[in-house]
Amino acid sequence: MADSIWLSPAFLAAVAVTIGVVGYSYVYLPTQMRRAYRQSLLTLARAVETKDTGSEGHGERVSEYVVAAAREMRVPAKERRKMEYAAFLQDIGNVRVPHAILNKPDNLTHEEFDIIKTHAMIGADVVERVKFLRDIAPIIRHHHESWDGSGYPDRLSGEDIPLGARILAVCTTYDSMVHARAYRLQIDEESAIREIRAGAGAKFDPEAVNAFLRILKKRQRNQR
Amino acid sequence: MHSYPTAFNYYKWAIRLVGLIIFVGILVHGGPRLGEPLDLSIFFVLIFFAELLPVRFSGTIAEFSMTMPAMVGLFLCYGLPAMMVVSAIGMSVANIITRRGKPLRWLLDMVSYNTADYILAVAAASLAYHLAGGRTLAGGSEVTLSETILPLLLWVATGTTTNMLFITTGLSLYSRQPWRMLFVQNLRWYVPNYVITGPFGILFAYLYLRYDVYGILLMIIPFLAGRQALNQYAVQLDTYRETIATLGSYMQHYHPYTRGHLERVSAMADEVGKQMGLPISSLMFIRDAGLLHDIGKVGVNEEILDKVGQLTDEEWAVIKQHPARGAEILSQMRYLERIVPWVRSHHERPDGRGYPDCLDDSKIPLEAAVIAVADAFDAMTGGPDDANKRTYRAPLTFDQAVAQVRYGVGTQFDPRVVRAFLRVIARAEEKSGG
Repeated sequence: MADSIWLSPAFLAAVAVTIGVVGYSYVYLPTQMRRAYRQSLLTLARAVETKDTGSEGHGERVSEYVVAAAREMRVPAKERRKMEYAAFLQDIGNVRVPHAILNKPDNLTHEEFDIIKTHAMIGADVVERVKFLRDIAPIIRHHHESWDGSGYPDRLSGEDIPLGARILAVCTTYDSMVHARAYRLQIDEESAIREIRAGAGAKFDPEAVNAFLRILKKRQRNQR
Repeated sequence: MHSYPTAFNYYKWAIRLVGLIIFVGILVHGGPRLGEPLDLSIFFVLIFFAELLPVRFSGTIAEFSMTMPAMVGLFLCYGLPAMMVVSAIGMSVANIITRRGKPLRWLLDMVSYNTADYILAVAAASLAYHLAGGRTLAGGSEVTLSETILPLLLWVATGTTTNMLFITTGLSLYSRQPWRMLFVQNLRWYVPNYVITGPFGILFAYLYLRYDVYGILLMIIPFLAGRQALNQYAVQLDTYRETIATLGSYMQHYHPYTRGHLERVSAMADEVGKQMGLPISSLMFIRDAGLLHDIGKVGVNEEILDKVGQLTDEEWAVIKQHPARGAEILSQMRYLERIVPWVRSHHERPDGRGYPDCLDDSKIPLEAAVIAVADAFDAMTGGPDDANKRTYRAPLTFDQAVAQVRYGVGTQFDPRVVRAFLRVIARAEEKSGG
């Protein structure tokens, strides 16, 4: 053998290349991809939100609450990510709800409200068709179910409702209350919190409500 | 088994015959020296795995393989005869394994033809190498890297070109497509491929000259890591694109017509793009662009999109926003930047009367022109079944729609795209007509 190989620049270069490549493909790349993925889902969600005047940014704000509340409830990171994506895409079913109904300024008739209600099923149906989003379909389908079984579309109750959907229900209701929508006037944060608390055990999972109120308090403290 | 065109069969036999003659000639003339069995088997394993485990970008024909660098190293160390035998066996075994399950006759047909093809290419490459004054270790002489660089580059260039000429001729006889077009298409793909992998061959040779076979072993780990990284990237990128494009297309599914339309536009754009010999980097994304070209319509009031009868000026203005809106949405998505201008310009016309930018001919991306034709044609025919037909316009028959596309050449549609489109259509008819 011509030279000692272990001290040669070629060997050191080989080690450096290996470390660099492994770091790139297992640390840097997945992070970048996940970021791009998240950003793209959010962008698609925003495109749908423009259809429902006043709902712009709803998915993103709600996703922040959902992730924080889920962390508070010690949900594992992988599940939290699913909940985050479900929050982005919760109202994606609105693509097939007529513009006129979504933006109707006065009270909806029964029929119109029934049409609005289909958005949860349609949204679940859409993500169901996408291989890597199939897991989040149940969260989207059931995000309007009630803890007491009075919600839609399947009238599930209690822990039959997926955890992600229970958390999402609390967060999305709160956000809709504090932001003006076509069919509802904005109310202040204190009244919204009172209403959420009143819904614990009836409309909402009490544990999800507790977690949500705790993170809300933390946020308010941080803002001050 | 489907039968090949006669000319293609004759061509294959000719290649096999010439390949065999040259193979025997080289073995007889080149002497019996085959080198150390251990070193040779390391090279064998290397070539086998390089061939077995290429880096693939699925959904395209793009593929990187480290076979060529390993062959260059082998050639430098042991000369042509040893390299030819070892790599021919290594590649054939790998080829059979990847295509296992196919009928034996098909396998023999494929492997013998490919091997003959390959022998002709390396024979030509080696001839060029020796003519340029290059020597190999097999000659018993000391060889320095600096004196081999130029002949090696020539080796790679000649081998690649010869191989490409044979492949193009075969493909042209097989698919009955024009030779020149296929050649340009192959050139676009092979040249970057070899520019990337070529230096590795020289690195192999250098490491072997300096550190013997340990130098080759030293290469394997970074090589495997690099392959893994590229594959990782390819898989993640595919997952990402598939998810976003599928989700995006289902989101546009506001009535049953849309999804089928998007899928057909996507497939047609892909076919036409291939026929035109668009670069591989475009072909990778043209299906996604086909699915996402109307994403700007998401969120637009469907009463306007579906309106039967004349649109008012305001309604037209809203409709005309969709390419720009779509481009804006897609510009937020990393890894899909490439299709942003295509989506923005898919309603432009060569005569400058399109929207949103009234671009003229020279400024419209070719990919946008491809989508424009595929989109217009499918909108006119409305797909194969009645349920898919658009509400606001009676669908044309297939022939009427083709006539419309022809009529729009140079004004509404890019002539290059229409030419390719007509060929694709003719081929599809030939196939379905028997």
